[in-house]
Amino acid sequence: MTAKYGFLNRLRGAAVAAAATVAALGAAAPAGATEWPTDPISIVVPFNAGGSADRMARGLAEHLSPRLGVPVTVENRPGGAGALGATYFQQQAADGQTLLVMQATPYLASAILVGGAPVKWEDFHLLNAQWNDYGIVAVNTDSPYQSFEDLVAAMKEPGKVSSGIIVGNGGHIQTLVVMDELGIPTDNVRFVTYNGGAPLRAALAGNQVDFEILAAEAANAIRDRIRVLAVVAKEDKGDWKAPPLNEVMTKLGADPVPLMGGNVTGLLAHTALKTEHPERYKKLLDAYRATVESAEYQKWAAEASMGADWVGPEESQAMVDEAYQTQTGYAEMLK
Amino acid sequence: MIDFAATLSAVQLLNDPMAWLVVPPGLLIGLIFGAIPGLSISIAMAVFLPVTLYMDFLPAILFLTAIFTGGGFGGAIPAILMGIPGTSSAVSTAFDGYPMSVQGRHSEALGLGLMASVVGTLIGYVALFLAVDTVADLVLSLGPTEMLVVALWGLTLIAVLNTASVAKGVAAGILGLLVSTIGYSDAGQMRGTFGSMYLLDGVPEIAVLIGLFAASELFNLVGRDYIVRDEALRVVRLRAILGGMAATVRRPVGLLRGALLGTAIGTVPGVGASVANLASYAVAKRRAADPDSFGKGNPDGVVASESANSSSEGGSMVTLLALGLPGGAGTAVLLGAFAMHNVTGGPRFITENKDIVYALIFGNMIQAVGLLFVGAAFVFAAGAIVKVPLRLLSPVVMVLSVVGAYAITGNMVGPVTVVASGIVGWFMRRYGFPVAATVVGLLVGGMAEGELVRSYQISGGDISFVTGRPITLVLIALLVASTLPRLIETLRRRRKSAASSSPADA
Amino acid sequence: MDRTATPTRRPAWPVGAVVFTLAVAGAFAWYAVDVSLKARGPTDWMMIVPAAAIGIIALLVCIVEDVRAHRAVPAPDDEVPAAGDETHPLRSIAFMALLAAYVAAIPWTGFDVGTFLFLAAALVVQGERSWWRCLLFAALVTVPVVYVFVHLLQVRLATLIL
Repeated sequence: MTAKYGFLNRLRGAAVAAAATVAALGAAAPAGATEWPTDPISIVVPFNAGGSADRMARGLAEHLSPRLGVPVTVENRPGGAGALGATYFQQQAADGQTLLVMQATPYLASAILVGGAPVKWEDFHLLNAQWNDYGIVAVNTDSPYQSFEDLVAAMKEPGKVSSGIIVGNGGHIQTLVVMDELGIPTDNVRFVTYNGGAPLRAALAGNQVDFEILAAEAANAIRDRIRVLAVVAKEDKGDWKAPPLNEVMTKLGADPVPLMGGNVTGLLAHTALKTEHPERYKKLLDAYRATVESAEYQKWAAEASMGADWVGPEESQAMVDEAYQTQTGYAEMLK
Repeated sequence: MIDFAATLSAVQLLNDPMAWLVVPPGLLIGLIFGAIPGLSISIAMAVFLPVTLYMDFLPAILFLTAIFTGGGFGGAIPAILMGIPGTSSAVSTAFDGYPMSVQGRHSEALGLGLMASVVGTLIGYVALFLAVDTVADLVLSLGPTEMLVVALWGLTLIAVLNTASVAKGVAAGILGLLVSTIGYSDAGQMRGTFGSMYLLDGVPEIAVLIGLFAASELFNLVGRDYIVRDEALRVVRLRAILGGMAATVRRPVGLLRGALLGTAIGTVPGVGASVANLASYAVAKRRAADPDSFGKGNPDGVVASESANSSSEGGSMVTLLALGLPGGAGTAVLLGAFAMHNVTGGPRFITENKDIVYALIFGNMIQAVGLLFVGAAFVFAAGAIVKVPLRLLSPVVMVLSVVGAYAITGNMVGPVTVVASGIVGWFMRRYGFPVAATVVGLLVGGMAEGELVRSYQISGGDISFVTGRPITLVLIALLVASTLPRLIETLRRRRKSAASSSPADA
Repeated sequence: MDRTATPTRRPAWPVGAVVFTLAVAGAFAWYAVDVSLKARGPTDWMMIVPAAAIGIIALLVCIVEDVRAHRAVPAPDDEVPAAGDETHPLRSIAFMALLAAYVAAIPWTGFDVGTFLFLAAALVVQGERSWWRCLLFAALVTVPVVYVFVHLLQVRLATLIL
């Protein structure tokens, strides 16, 4: 009987030892297991190929891919001024395999507030406000208004001044915000609504409307035909030879206004990604940062006339959250 | 006007063999996508746009414009052979092209269309070459009130194209007009979307076109055996094609008029080839010695339509390059291609890059000649469609339309629209409502409303605003002068014929 | 404009035309009312409401015209449709229903199975008797179409099998 017990004991011992080894190996597995990502990553762009969001996405896809070690592709899902693409993005799992590039403000905000997209602002997380295009207050070169003060004086007369806008975009809201602060009734200005950036610029270049607040980057195409009265930013970044907006506002005796004349574009992820897969989130963020700050990306961006700033997730999100709040305030008025 | 230094440098730029290698494939792709109802140029451009990322600027743009050029004629092929326009720019080609096919003259019609397209493209680009600077300034001076008059002129096309009673023509036109307003308006209001975001962009125009023409026509053909009844005529004869091409050249007045009109319309942003072909057809019909022969197989109709839709390409390039303004879906993609290569159109672009602009123009002119050869070969092959029995052809065309519509919209809105408009179109034809009027209303409606609203906004509701805009007044005078006399005459003619004989078969 | 293969007893007034015309007029009216109720200002309805009004008037005139034409003594039918050229409303309606069913079924069958079934059924409706020819034709068309769209054109078609 002693032999049998001895044999069984040794068997048991061996089994325990084996189990312990397996457990130890199991605990050590992550170190040797395949790291994320292993599958191609897709960037959704809620607009057609060729637009500014699409170009940024393609540039990022090209430069991000080597740093993540997988192919990164662009998926165009246009429709509803961004609403369809944003909705499609939220329908994908928050596992880091699908990302989004679009203008957080104004287009994502508008898609939610005006377009009725069945998504929530809180579910989107802006990793970086890579391209913060600012706005400019511009008139045609043939215009009688030589300064911002001239324009404001004219706006006080009901119906004297006309302004070109796209309903609900940054320039529109900025105009409303400025008029609000200066105590000018909204009805004083004849707002003329256009459905795209190109007709909007053509209207200003052809002196069809008296003034516009439009995106500075786009305005470069008609630079020779316009005069800039103020820059909607902290400083005159584009050599427009005009004072910053809040400087003139203060001179006129008004309080400074929130600045939102342009578009804030960057790479967006699901908010849930940060909580559910923190290591993937970190890897993505680091790769994104390395890409943006790299010399070859900076060169690419400069040639493409596109922003390549690194602002970081916290500050970027705070920036667009503020703009979203402002836009919410005016959304009811626009509907 | 012509900058000779830039011209020389342009020729040098064109020495790049890559710039030439891409043209024949581009033309072929355009022809195929244009010829299949359901596929459209915008899909082709969207599919091939990313491919051009890896090309240099000049070959990329020549490739895309070759697709454009090919598509400009490709749409005429099913329009002529089946009465179903392959693209929105070939709608009026079907009006006379298809009757010609039924009579067995399909080869001739195809030849007519091809030559008209080639010459039209050439004239369009010649005009561009000569006038790019001056036209840019002219276009910029068109404000909302001017554009409104242009839109109104577009709507009067309904009257000329109408073959039924006035009431039916108006009703059909209004249907198209109202459908075009569905979606998110420029002023920010949502109409008819039933709370769904799928209709935010409105009803997809191409899907409606396909549905109205293809579906309704095919429903009617169920039960007929072949497109061309007479078996002996069911062949594609090269000689007949060449005959058609020669016949075009023997119509210089119609050809030139169509081409110039098309170029002019092409320069107006937001209008494009889809209106150009209808307008040219309408004008040709109005000025013809025998207007009633239009719609029954008159070659002049085919020539007018095809020359205009091709020349409008050159015209819309003017606005694209000079102002960065797209004329329609196709040029919008071109704009995207420009942007991808970090080029933004605009007055600065032209002054700083005259040589590239000229290179584009010359390249396109040579493309037009290329179309002659590639197109002829394609037509010869495509003409075999008349040999396919309709009971096989109709379902295939339906499938392509549905799948193509899905490809355009990316969701089921496309296919559902095709079916819905097909059913409506069938009923319309059955009860004598002119489908062409609905098409005009649909295409012009969006522009008409946008400009009406903007005119109201910019004038603050004050009509006397117009008195301060001389161009508007001139345009209004032209509009009245061109439409009123004919309108009165047509009404007089109808009253006479209605009184003397039994009501005409609508 | 009732061109059936064999003449039938004519109703007192053109039922189909009138019903259709009224339906369209009704749609115009509903749309105009809906838009003006949601309007925030004149710019929202300034084209739609007048256009709809004109349209409704035109449609009512159409009804009058059609009834009048229907009642007028019919001229001898010198335009007998040539053999093989008649329209068959019933068959057309069947085809329309088939198409509608095809599109409605796509979200469930996917484009491949849906297209295959539609093509086969379309041949059957048109009188094709041999079932294997229907299936063969359906397969011969479905496979290349799906292949071209999905693989060459990168269109994301929902498919079950392919």
